[in-house]
Formats: sequence, C-alpha cells, structure tokens
Amino acid sequence: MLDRRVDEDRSRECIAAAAEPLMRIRCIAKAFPGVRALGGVNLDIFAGEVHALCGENGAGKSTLMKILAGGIRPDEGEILHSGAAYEPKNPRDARNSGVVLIHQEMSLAPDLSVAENIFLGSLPCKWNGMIDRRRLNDDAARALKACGYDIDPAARAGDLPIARQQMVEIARATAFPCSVVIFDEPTATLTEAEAESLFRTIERLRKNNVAIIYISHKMKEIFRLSDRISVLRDGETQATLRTADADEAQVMSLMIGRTLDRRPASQRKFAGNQVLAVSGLSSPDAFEDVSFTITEGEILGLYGLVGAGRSELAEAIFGLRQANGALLWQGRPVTVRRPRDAVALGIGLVPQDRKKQGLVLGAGGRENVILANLAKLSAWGLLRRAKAAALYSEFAERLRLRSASPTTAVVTLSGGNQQKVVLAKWLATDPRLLILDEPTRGIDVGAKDEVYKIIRELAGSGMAVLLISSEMPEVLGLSDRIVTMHHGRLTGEFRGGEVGEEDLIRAVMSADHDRRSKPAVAV
Amino acid sequence: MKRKYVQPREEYILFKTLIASAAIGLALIGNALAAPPDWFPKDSKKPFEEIVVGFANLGPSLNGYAAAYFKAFNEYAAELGVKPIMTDAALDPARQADQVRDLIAQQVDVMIVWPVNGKAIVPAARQIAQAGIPLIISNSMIDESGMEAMTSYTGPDDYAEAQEAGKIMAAALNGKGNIVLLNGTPGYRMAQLRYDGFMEVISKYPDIKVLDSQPADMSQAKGQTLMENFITRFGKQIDGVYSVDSGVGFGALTATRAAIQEGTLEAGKIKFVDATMYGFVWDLIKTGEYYGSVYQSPEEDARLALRSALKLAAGEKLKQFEYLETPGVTKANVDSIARPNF
Amino acid sequence: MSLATHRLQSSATSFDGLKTIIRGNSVWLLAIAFAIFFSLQSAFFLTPFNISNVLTQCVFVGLLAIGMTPVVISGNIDLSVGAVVGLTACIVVALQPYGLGVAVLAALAAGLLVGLVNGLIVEKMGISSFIVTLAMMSGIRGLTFLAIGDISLSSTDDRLNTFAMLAIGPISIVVVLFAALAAIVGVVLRFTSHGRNTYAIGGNRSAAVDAGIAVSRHVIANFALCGLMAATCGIAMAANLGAAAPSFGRDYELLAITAVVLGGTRLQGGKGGVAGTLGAVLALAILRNGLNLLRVSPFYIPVVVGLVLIMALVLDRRVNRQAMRHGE
Repeated sequence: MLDRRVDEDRSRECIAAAAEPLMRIRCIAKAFPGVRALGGVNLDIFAGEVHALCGENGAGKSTLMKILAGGIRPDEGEILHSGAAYEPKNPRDARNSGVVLIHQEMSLAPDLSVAENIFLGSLPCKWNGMIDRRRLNDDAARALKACGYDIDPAARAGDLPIARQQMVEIARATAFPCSVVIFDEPTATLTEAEAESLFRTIERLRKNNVAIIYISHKMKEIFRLSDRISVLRDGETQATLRTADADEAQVMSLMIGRTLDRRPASQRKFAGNQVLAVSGLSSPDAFEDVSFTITEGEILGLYGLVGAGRSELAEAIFGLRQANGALLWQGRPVTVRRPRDAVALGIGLVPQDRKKQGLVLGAGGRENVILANLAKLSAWGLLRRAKAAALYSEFAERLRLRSASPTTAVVTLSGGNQQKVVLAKWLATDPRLLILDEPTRGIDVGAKDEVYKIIRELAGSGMAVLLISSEMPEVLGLSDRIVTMHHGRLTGEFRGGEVGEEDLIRAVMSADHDRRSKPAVAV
Repeated sequence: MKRKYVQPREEYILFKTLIASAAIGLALIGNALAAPPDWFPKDSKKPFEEIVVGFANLGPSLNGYAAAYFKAFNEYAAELGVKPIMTDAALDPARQADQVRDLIAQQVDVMIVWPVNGKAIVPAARQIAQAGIPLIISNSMIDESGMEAMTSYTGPDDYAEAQEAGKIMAAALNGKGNIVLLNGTPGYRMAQLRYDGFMEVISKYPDIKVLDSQPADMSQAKGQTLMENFITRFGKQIDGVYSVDSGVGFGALTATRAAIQEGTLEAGKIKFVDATMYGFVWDLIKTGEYYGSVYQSPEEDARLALRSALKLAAGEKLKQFEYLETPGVTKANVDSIARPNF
Repeated sequence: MSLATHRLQSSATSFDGLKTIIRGNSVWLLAIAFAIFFSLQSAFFLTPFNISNVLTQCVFVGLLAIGMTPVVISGNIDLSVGAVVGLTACIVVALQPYGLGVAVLAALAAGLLVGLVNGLIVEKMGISSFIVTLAMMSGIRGLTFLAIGDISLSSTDDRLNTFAMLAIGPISIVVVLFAALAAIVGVVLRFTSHGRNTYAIGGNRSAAVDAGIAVSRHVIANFALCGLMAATCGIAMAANLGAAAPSFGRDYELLAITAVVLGGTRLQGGKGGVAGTLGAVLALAILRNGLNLLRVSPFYIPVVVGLVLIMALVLDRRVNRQAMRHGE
C-alpha cells in the first residue's frame, strides 16, 4: 500500500481534517436480559489511526467490539463502513468487509499447523483435492514475514507459547486485505519484550493505512500507541480526545465520570477478633506473596482489574486452587486443601460466575439452598424435607427473594434473585467469613442496592466479608478497608472513607511502571 | 529406614507363595497323568494325556442351560485330567469365527463348537475341516450347508424329544381328543423336527384330532396370544396343547388360567405337553397343573460332547449323530428327575 | 524476533525428538511390544496362519474404528455403527435374489443414509451426537429385528463368501480392502481441506465458524462416511460368515470407540488420526489372539484387555502432559 504521507507526525494531525471516516458508528444500542450494555455509542474511526478505547469493566467495550466483528447484532443504530451500511451477520461477513478482531483468548485450532490456522477456511488445494502444502506454507511464511514474525509455518499451533499464538492470529488477520483491526487487551498475557514486538506490528499496520481499535486498561500503552482516545462509560461514549492533547488524569476522570459520596459508616473502628490472616500466599501463574487480615464484622474490599488475580486468590483461600503460604484461622494455622475443608472452617464463597459455579440452574431455589447444607438437613442419610423447607423460607424472607415458588427453576429468575439464591445457600451454612466475588455482576441497579444492603447487614451481625469487585463505586461504598491488587500482587491498602477513586485507579494502573519486569501471568 | 526393614519380609512371603503354587501345579500335573478312563480306546493314535481339545463356546451368558453345561464341562474335564482350550464368543458370531481360527492356529487335536449361529459358523467349520481337525458340533446344529465339515453332532435329538412328547400326549388323552399345536419358528430345522416327531406318533391315533397348528416361534408372549385365539375359536373343544418348548407352553398356560377365571373353561381339563422342560414347568408338573414334558440334561450334554471329542481324537469312529438321552417327564416320575436350573 | 527463535530451538534436542516419536506412535510401540511378547511365549504366534488370523481379526472392528475416527476428531461420537452392521449385513443377504450388485449397493446406501440422518439431526437440531446416535442405535436394531425376526439368513449367492475367502498369499482379500480404505480415510484427514477443517472444528469450533468454514457440512460428511464404513463392515461380515442376523455387530460400537481412544484420538475432538487408530486395532487384535494362544481363561481376557486400555491411556496422558509442559 502506498504511504501518501511524508511525515508521520503530520499525518496524525491530518486525521481530523480527513474528509470521511473509514467507519462511522452512530447511536448503537444493545440490551441483554436485565442489563443495558450499550445505550448510544458514537464513534468515528479513520484509516491509518490507532484509536484507543477505554472504560471501566462493564462499560460496554466488549459488546461494542463483538458488534463490529459480527459476533452479535445491535438493537439500534447504524454503522457505515467506507460509506456503505455495515451489518455483518457473522464473523465471516465482518472479515470479508475487512474487519477483524484479535481475541483476548486463544482462537486457534491447536492440532493444526500454523499455516493451516492462518488460512483456515480457505486452504489452497491442488487439482486432485489434496492441500497444496507447499503453496500453503509459502503463503503463510510470507504472511508471517510481512508481520515480521519468525515462526515456522509447519509448527503445530498448540505447541507455541501464548504470545506466539497471538502472533499467528495477527498474521491470520492481516494475511487478507483488512481495513479495521480490533485488539482486545492484547498485552494481558504478554511479557514486556513480547508486547514490544506487538507494538511494532501495530505500527506497521498503521503505516499501511489500516484503522486500529485498541482496547486496554494500561494507560502507558494507550498514550504511547494511540492517536485518539475514546472513553466509554455505562454503555455511552463520553468523549473522544486527541492523545496529544490529553493526559492520564483526564481519561481516568472520564472513565469514572462522577464523584461518589463517601460513606460515613465505613469510619467504624474494628477491635473485633481476627477471623483470617493470610501471609505470603503465592500461587504460580496467578498471584504472589499476598498478605492481609480480616476481622469480625469487617468488610474488606479487594479492588483490581480483571486478570489481576483476585478470583484466583479467592479460590486459593477456598481450597479450589493450590497455593503456598500460611493461613491463620482465628489465630490457628490451618490448611485448606479442598472446598470441604473451607466449609468446615466456616468460609463461604459466592463465585464470580454464578451460572457456572454457583447454581444448579435447572433446579429450584430450595434445592440449591439445600445443596451446601445436606449434612445439616439430613438424618440417617435421608433429607428431612420439613427442615429443608423451613431453612429455605427463612433465608428467602431474610434476603427478600422473589421467586414464584421454592421449586421454580432458578434459570428463570432474574440475575438479582439468582444471586440471592447463591447468597442464601452460603448464609445457611452460617459462615464466619463470606467471600463475595463480583456479587453484583450482571444484575440491575435496583437489585444491586438490595445486595449491598444485605452485605451491610451481614457485616453488622459480625460476619467478616471479603468483597472482590472491579466496580469502583461498589468497593468504595461498602468497604471498611480496601486493598488493591495488580498483576498478582497487593499494591496498596486504604481505609474506607479516606480514599478516592483516583487513588484506587492509580494503585492498579500506574503501578505498571515498576512492576512490569515481573509479569503476574506467566506465559 | 523402615522401608528396608520391610522389603526382605515381602520377598520371603513371595517366595513362600511361589513354592506353594509350584506344589499345587505339580499336584495338577500329577492329576493330568492319571490313567485314561475305561471308554477311551486302547489303540489310541495319541496318548490320552497329550490330547488337546479346543472348545469354541458361544458364551455361558446365553441362559441357565448354557451356564450349567459349562460348569459340568469344566468339572468333567478336571475329573478326566484333560485341559481343553476354551474361548468365549459372547454370542458374537464374527468373534466365534475368529476364535475358531485361533484354535486352528494352535493345532488342537479335536474341536468342539457350540455355534452362536448355525449358518454363520459354516465358513469357519470348513476351515476346521481343511485343517484336518475333527469337529464336534455340540447342542445346536450347524446349518445343513456346512454338515460335510462336521465329523459328529452331539446333543439332544429334537425328533426323538418330540416323539416322546407325542407319546405323553397320547397317554394323557387316552388316545382320544382334540389338540392344538404351538410350533417353533418356521424355516428352522429344529422347529420342523419337533413338529414331525410329534405328528409321527399322534398320527397313529385316529381319534386324536389336530384342531389347528400355528408358529409361536420361541416366544412366551406369542404362545399366550395364540392360545387366547384358540380359546376364542374352539373354547371347550380343546383337550390338549402341544408346545415347542416350556416357554411357549407357559404362555399358553397363562392364557388358559385367565379363561378358567372368567369361567370360559373348566380347570384341569386341558393337558399341557411340550418338548423341552424348563425349571418352572418341572414345578407345574409336580403340582399337576402341567401334564408332561421332556427332560434334557445340560450336564449329560456337556459330558457327551467332551467324551465324544476325546474318542474322535483317539481315532475312534463315531456316528454322525451322537444323541443325548431325553426321557419323558410326567407327575409319575418327576421326583426322579433333577429340577432344571434354567 | 530474537525471542521468536529461542523457545523453539530449546525444545529441539534429540531427546525431545525421540519423545515426539514415542508420543505420536505410542500405540504402535505397544502393538510391537505385544507381538514380541507373544512370539516369545507361544510357538504358534508367528506362524503364517496365525498372522493372517490376526490381520483378519482386525478387519471388522477396524472398519468401524476407521470410520469413527473423523467423527470423533470433529468432536462427535457415533454409537449407531454396531446396529448399522446388523442392518446392512441383513440387507446384503436378504436382497441377494435381486442380484448381488443391487444387494451390495442397497446396503451401502442404507449405511450412508443412516450416517446422513445422524449428521443432519446433530447439526441442524443441535442435539448432542451421543443422544442422537444412541437413539439411532436402538431404533435401527429394533427395526432390523422387526423386519427379519430373531433368525439368521443364509447367503444364497456363493460369490460373496467365495470373494471373502480369496487371499493374496497369506493375506485375505478383506484385509487388503480394509488397508486400502484406511489409507484413503487417512489421506483425506491428513491432506485434504475437508480433513484439516475436521481438525479445526474439533479443536476450536468457534474459530472454525469464525474462519467461515461450513462446519455443518463437514460434520455431516464425517457421519456419512462413518455410516458408509459401517455398511462396508456389515457386508464384509455377511460375506465372511456366509450368513446374516439382526444381532450382528452388537456392542461393536464400544469396541470401535475403544480402539479410537486407545489410538490417541481425543474424545473431545481436535486431535488424533487414522494411523493411531490402526495401531490400536492391531494392538487389541494381537492382545486377544495372544491371550487365546496362551490359553488364558476366556473370563480373564476382557479383564486383561480392560487393564491394558486403562494403563495405556494413563501412560499416554503422562507422556503428553510432560510434552505439553515442555512446550510451554
């Protein structure tokens, strides 16, 4: 492709002046049952620019990208691509229009060769129907070389390290003519050197007049790579800035958007007994040297971005994941090898993905509550139905659970009520420590408030609560104390009520600079 | 430290076990060298203890008869001191053909085959013949197309069994009455023999009239349905029912019991007779509800097969059909016959 | 670019090369080990008659396992093959009065049709292949019994059995045909775009969809091929035994799946191949034949086969996991 521009810096200046954007996104809206993911997104993407897309978790970035890549269809709005209506029915359609998404997770066929993966769906054949392996490998070698990658086209894709698999994906995206390439958190699993190589590729694509949409949480990368930055919040575009004119603080405040009132309740002092002390806990590939304590009646917020190692930490405490380090339970050293040990101690875990980990979806609310409490509700190995029914109704009332009947399949309940069933299940075990992993994910605003109220009540009754969340208002509004986590390490500790959103963001983002050398997620 | 302490002990135990098993092995060999039985030909072309018998089973899981047969076969082999090579086809005809070839490969002196499928065994039987190995077909006949490959058949004589049943029926009716017949699956040699044998005897009694004759296959349910139709059509005219085996006979009895309850028929009038007795019919003969049947002993069947095989290997000529004795059973002699466990 | 090379080179030592060979062909090594063991233990094992035996014994399960391999690689399973063997064996014998050619073609068509229907239901209605083919298994078996009854049919046309008994030296013609079919399926999987797409579908279905592969078409084609191979097995069985019965091929689907899994094909799909399946079929045939030759009691043979299967899978998993760690 011909590079029309003489001076790269000057070319960036020209973008705003260029007559037509390559892609024009207008008033895109999308709702999922119970949640409005996007509510009017407007974006202009120009050829030859790196357009960074920022936003908190749940701001709608992934939904928007899936719409662009043909994964899902929007409810409202229109997209123009090179002046024509762009309505991809599937990823293949999108790719034919030159729009490709480089996934966060691996999307290669592991048992095929690198070359086969690159040309998957359009393998070259000889006259006799056999694959033309020489041509395939030559073409693949050319595509890889064009990206500057030194990868053997005949290697088995599954044998490559993650970073190189990503390179294969990029080579696949660019082996065919493409006009828009979307990167979804591409450096999440890369080492610094690998990330550098990726940046060079992006630079090369930009020179070839390709539009790049770059999604990342890492301010450093965004400011280094992008020409412009758009910020999404609550499913709407807040602003589009020229990178040269913006600074980190400005982007952060756009991401957060509002100042939240600080909760006086969190000024409480805790003289209660220590419930759990974690010291020097490490788990390979997840987190390292984590230490903290939690006392009776305290809500400890654990804030960090997705992939920081928060859920893994919860799993380790609950016995779902192997970890080294010491756990002190009410002052006594204990080992938790499996969830059963944790339950016996009095630890409950409300997992992140309630549909996969927390609920038997086809069963009723009562069955689900009974599940974690079978021993308590059984005599001579038989379930005592009356006792079970009583237990269920007690918690259903306490949590204001709205379900047609105790046997209504939980899959038909709203997200908020599903979460209440999970909560009821664990509360019925009478835990001393309750770990809540993203307790309000995917539930609507009204239900969120109810869950918050329940959490406060629980803490008020003396239960220790470890609240894991990537939603800042939630952490700030509920926690008595907050620890931040980034790349598998604790990066700060704050008293509730003495901390603002900027402090937290800084603790989990800017910490990048000094911790980069030791990645939390091994490749 | 502890480990080292333990190990010699373990070895010692192992050593003791080895000695013990060696002793048992010697005892077994000693047994094997026992004198051949009286019926074994003195002029055998091969010493008794060197004869290798191959036995391709269809699988003891077939039914109680087969299970009893295999138990008796093994016991008899141990008693004689021969060690047959057994294979189990688990009712799969293709696997049985494979296993027959495995036995040919081991150059056995004589082969017994209880076919899973009389037709599907024909090519394998021909290979046995080609290899020059004498072949005993046991219990269930090979298809006629493969008979030239078979040296001898041992087992029940369907014709004789049916004749015996005919005699019992004639006696039960005092030579006079109306009967219905529930036969086996058409096209099967066994079904034909069990019809022909019965009719040969009955045709000698001009006063016994066959009202109707229908194929009940080998199915108890079908026997019951057919009998219900017979009762509707002939009602109280029926004096006797002849069934191909006890299963079909029991189906007919069930239909009759229902008719007696409704009052269509009077109790005890119809005489039930069949050609192969199962355990539950033995019970009914004892109580008198069922008139009579024919006894076929799985133990005798097994012994006959092994004995014939050894004779063949010795070079003795056998008849093409070595039949099992199949006595008739009625209330008069039922106590002298062991209850079949099938 | 420097980081690109050092990882690959570090894993290319000769020791790892050996390991890769073992990893790819462990089941063949197992078959060779069995062969050596039994030839030392039994004088009959290496006789031409017995070698021809073992090869012939590979054919029936082998045909089914070879047909099943692409289905499993694409992430499905076909439990109906045993029933198709019964059905097609009966068809090829029952239709002989209309001419041998008609009978053979009708049997092949029936197998193909069952495969197509399996594939269509799985893909178009999105029902798990386990359920679909399980239902198909009992449906076909039931229909065959209804049509034929619980009896067996004698082949009236001798050409069928005569053909099956032909041999090239000690090798039966059936074995030669089987080897040819296995080679064809192997080549299709390895060298055609249909084959490579099959791997992609089983390995990462959403990636295959994203790449614009007509996923359904490939999956259905694999089911059809599997049905066709099952029909071939039914015809071969009827030819070899000179008869057919509706009960033919009972439980053969399990024997076939055993061979496929032992051959290193992953039940979840994406990985495996015909060479492994072939090795597993051979290893299992050698094991059964050898145990018969050693006069192991028929009741212990299934136990030994089961133990070997479990041990082989555990070992294979160990080797593969080590290799995977190394690759990372």
